[in-house]
Amino acid sequence: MDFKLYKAEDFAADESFIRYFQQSDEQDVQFWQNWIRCNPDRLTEIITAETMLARLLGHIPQQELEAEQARMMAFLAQQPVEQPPVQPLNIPPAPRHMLRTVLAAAVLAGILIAAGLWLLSGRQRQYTPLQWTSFSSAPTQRTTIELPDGSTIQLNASTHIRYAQTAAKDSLIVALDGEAFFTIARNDKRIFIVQGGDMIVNVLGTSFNMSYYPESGKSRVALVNGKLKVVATSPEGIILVPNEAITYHAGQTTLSKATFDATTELGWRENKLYFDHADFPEIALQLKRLYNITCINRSKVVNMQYTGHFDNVGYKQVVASICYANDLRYTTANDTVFIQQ
Amino acid sequence: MDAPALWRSMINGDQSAFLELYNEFYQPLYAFGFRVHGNAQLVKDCIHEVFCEIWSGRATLPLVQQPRAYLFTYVKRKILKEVKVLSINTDEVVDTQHGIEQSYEDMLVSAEQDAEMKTKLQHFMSQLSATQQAILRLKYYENLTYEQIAAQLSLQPRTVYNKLYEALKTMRQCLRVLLLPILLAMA
Repeated sequence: MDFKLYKAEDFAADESFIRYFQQSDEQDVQFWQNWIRCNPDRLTEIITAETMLARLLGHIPQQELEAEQARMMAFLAQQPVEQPPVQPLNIPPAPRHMLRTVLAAAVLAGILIAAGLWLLSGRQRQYTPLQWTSFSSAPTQRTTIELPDGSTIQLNASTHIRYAQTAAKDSLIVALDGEAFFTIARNDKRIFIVQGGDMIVNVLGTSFNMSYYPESGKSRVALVNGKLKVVATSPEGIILVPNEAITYHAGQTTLSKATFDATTELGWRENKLYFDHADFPEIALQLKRLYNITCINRSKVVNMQYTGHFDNVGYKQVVASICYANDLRYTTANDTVFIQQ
Repeated sequence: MDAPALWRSMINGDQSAFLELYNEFYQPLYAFGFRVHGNAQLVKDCIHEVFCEIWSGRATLPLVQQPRAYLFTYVKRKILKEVKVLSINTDEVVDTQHGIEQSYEDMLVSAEQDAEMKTKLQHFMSQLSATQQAILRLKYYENLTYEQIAAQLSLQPRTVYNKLYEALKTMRQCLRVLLLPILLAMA
């Protein structure tokens, strides 16, 4: 049985996985903990399965559980500390005397530390929320971030990324909102994942351009060199080789590869703006991201299209050209452009 | 260490063994307690009290072979006692004789704190066939195997699995939008 092909539903219906989740069988717990560690790219399916199981099994939500644990720690801290009758050598007496003499505030601090240690140790669920590091670029601005390992991420305007290390410590996950160009140093031991909406890209030492716009639900990745694995519709994923790209719309059921034109695709890195048969939503999205301009279509033209490029120009020139090509006019008010007949 | 060994250490005053028992049994006890009475706060209070009483009175506790069964019975009694007290105080009629178990569907929905999620779960349940609901209950509530469920419903185990799988798929669709922020926070 190949668990790599499993979706959340398969995990949630698997008897061994249920036993792991209920922690009722030590062997299953060990097997799945190990499997999850070895397959971090299946993490989203696993977490979805666990979220479903928690609901179906009537489990207490994690936050409430932590509150209850803290309550129990507070109770224990109030209890008189006494000599355990059978294990007198277990704990040296000195710390206990000290414990008696400390002030109330220190006791409280102790409770918090003990609760923290307790939460970290033992049989906690593996997925404590990770520490995310965020970077954003403002409209009209482009930024380059350098990661500690020498990899760089160049952000297009109005782009937000967050990155965190996964449970398998050496792996990185990046969540993308907007567009960015990644140049990732090769490291066979580490897993590097970029997530743009429902599209997940497993990076195998490469440089590539990727965009994800939640507004339109469209994800796209274009590979310049190296190798990439793209997962969106099926767990197996598709391998990209240089000069290939994949576009994915939320809800789509199949993925297909196509070659791309590097000038158009990567033009933004040289402050160029490219439109290739762009429709109105696409144009509005780019104007919003790039210039922070809201574009409203008040004309009757629903199928306007534009193909062309702009080299480091202001938004008015962009709007004027698009209107000219579609035989339309426009007015501006503050940060809004109205397109009219 | 297995549960009876932990229990022994706990009786001897080992606090870490006590905490390990607490961690190990909290979720199962909560799920169980929720079936006895559908008030989350009351269940939490009862479990808390049971563990407090166990730790305080550990010197007089028996050396039980089945800590799990012991804890389950203890929590159930605690809840029933608590409910009785409540019903006397509030004049609410609670039939403790015949149990106060609520249906699985009600339990799932009332366990949910988030109002939007409640609606989603209700919607999800309403989309399932009676057989699918029964299978979910037998699988996740009664904890039966596919073979046992198949025998009870006079179906093939494979059919049981397929019907459950379909239900889970529906659930995933219903929860999808709400799951996303959780995934992003956790991934």
